[in-house]
Amino acid sequence: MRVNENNEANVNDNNKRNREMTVVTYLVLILFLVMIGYIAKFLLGNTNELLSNNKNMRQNLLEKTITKGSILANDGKVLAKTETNGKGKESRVYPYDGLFAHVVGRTKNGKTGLERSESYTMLTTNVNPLYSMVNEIKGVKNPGNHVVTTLDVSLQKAASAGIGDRKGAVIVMEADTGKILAMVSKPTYNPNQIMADWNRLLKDKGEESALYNRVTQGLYPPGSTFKLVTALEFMREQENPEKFRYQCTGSIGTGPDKLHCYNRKVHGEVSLESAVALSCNTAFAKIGTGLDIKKWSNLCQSLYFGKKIPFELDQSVSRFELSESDSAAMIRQTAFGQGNTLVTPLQNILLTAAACNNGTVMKPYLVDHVEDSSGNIIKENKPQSLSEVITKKESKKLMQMMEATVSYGTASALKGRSYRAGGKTGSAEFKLKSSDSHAWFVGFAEKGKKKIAVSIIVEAAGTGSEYAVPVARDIFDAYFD
Amino acid sequence: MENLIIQISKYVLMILFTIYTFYCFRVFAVKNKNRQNRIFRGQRTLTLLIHLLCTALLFMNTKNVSVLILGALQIVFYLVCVKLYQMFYKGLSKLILNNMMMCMMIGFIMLERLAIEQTVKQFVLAAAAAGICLFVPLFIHRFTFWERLGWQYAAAGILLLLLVFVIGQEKYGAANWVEFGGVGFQPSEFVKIIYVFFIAAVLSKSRSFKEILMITGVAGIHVIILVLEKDLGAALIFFVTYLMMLYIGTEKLAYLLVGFGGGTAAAVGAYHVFSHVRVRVVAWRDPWSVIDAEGYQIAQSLFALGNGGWDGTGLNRGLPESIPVVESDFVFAAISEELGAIFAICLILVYLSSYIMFVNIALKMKKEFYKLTAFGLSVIFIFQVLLCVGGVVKFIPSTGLTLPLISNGGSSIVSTIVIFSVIQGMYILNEKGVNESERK
Repeated sequence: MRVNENNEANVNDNNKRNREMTVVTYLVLILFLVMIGYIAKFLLGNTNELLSNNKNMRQNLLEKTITKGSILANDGKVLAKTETNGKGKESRVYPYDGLFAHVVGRTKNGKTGLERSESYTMLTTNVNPLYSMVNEIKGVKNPGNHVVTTLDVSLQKAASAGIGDRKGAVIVMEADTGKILAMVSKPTYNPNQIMADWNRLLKDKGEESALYNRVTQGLYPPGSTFKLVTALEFMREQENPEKFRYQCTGSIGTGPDKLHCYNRKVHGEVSLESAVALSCNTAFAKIGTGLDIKKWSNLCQSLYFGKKIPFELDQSVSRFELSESDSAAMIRQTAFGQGNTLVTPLQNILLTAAACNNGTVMKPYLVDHVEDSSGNIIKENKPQSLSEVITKKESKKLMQMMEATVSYGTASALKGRSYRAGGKTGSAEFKLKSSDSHAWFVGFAEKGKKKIAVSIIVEAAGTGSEYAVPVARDIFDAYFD
Repeated sequence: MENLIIQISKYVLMILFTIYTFYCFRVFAVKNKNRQNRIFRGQRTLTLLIHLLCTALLFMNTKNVSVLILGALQIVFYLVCVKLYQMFYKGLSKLILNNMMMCMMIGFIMLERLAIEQTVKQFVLAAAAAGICLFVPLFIHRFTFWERLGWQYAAAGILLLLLVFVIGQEKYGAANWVEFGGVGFQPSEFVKIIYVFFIAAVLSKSRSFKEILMITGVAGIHVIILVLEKDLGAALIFFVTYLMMLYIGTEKLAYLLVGFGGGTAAAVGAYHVFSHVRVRVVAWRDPWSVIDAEGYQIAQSLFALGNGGWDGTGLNRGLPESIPVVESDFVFAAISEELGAIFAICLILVYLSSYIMFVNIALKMKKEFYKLTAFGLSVIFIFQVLLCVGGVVKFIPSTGLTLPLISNGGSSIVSTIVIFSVIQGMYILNEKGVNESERK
């Protein structure tokens, strides 16, 4: 690069100056190399994500030459497809109406769900180049790729029927892979009629909010389901957590800070396991006041409180905001799932799923594979572990507690089925001095090698045992029987 | 069918331009004059082929006859320029000439693609500038006052910059625009050349500490005026150029280091004091969070790059129009989207090869003033490329600079042609001296 001219006059002086220029030139070259590297890195990264962005108008360009592919269930049933009428006008059709409205999403009035995250995938074609060229010359659109999801129509139906006409959310996940088998948010809307219903749907911003996906965007107090987290933290801090005993008298504290067990029940002497199984609030209030809040917060962080879970759909971030300066009353409340803690049903499935998968949380995912219009697999998503939140030993103990909840605790409705089940109920009070509470259940069921986890919330229904556990039972029955 | 042609030709274009780029560097290793000339002729053929193909594609898409007329005029311009420059600049660097012409031709094509109504004006200005610059060697040779002047340059430059405050206009968030009798121009584009003359002239006469302090002060005034005009890109370039020239002029690494330290401190200060600096940084760090406001342009630019990928969408098959002022500051994103990142990276390399040739010329200069001027101008040139491209690809915050010779903008193209011509002019004068002394 350097042309060296050893000229006669001032050779020394000149060479010296030239050295500086060479230094600057190398500096410039390095800067440019780094920048080119940056461009390459950008292009090698996930540029599909950019193309799926709602602000990117380029998909409209693709739709001119490609017929958008379909979204399919795990058995190939069509969840969304593009139909072309005689005049060549295209429309997007959803054969199951509102059943998959939130997870599959829509394309009109803002793209949502998989219709948004996989939009570009479906506008990409992998038909053979020759065929594509022939189409090109004939002026015929090429068929886009299909997205085959992990969603199971029968489980989705069972989950939806379980919630019925109430408001709520259900997520079902295969614990050892992270495949999402069902995702229901109620109330729902019919994406086939979105244009006609739009104004009505927009008005229901309050309690109804049919447009938003409660599974990933709804933030609820976790209620007693959070006792699993508290119990886990307690096990980590105690040498012999099995030796823990507490005499439940039905209440703890004095004055306005006085706390009661649900329905003022008196549980008598409880161990850690029976405190979980029977959902004894006062025992957990006691446990909470002894915990190291820093460590407790760290545990919550590792469970994706305060940060997004890597997942395709839009989500709200769960919160655990206890600090060392908080009052003892607040710490007690937090320990059994009240306080300021808020979770999404998606977040709440993680610990249970980890417990029944030897401690490893699998990355939740919705797209099993992408195939071209003739069914050849283009891209396949493999299960990935998200993090190893808990040890094998801890996962075993959590499993025992959750099974105890079924065998003699608040989830006994799951006893004596053809599968082995466990879980934790919750009745989250969301309004001060109101008897209404959200019914929660997080749990798992296994039979042979199949293992699934669920997270269920039924809004303003009552206790978890009464309203959420039966939904879980319907889902487990539908899956295993 | 059309699409098929476009898809095939994008690969053809990519290959042609890759060969062109390869030649840019190959020529450094070839010592034989005849072989060098063969390479240069090859480059010219490639330029014309690329231009012809692009013009045909544009015509196919738009069916606009003015594309053909403009295309024909541009080819005439190309042939005439190449001929005349070699006549007026005996013994010039053909690599620099080829690259200058190549970039201009790409610029015309992109402008026709993005905003055809502006092409005529840009083309006329470029042709006029190229025409006038034929006489640059004459100017340098005949008039000997260039290096005798010194502080006068600075006075003229600062006055020109201040003009903006008197009759200035704000454009795209920077108040760096002046309109004079219906003709608008950007003073900083020209002041940067005078500014290099100033530093070179003063430094080549004296390098006393007092002198250096004064240069620093005056350079600082330039930079501050530019920051107040919100012309951050120019401010940065002026600063870097001053620093580099000082380093070369004094050979003291300490100045460079102290300068960078001071510059960093000043940048942090500016970040806290000026909201228009903060806005750029915010848009750079996370354009997605402010996509409806400050981050819109850069986000759209990234969409374009992502959509184009390595091989591009093909000319007219992307959507670069979605980027605000794409034909000016963000033209690189349009090139990358439609002609592909490989083409765009080759373009960066073409700029780099010009810069390396510039530095080679500066290395050979014997007169201190020539040496410093040539070097200063090449620093201005290459840093403008770096800041412009870096801003477009989100490597650094966007500073609103044009891509030399390609972006739409009369001031920008004229000043770059002047820079290329001044360096070439000094080069041939220097060579004359060398040849004479070699022949003795």
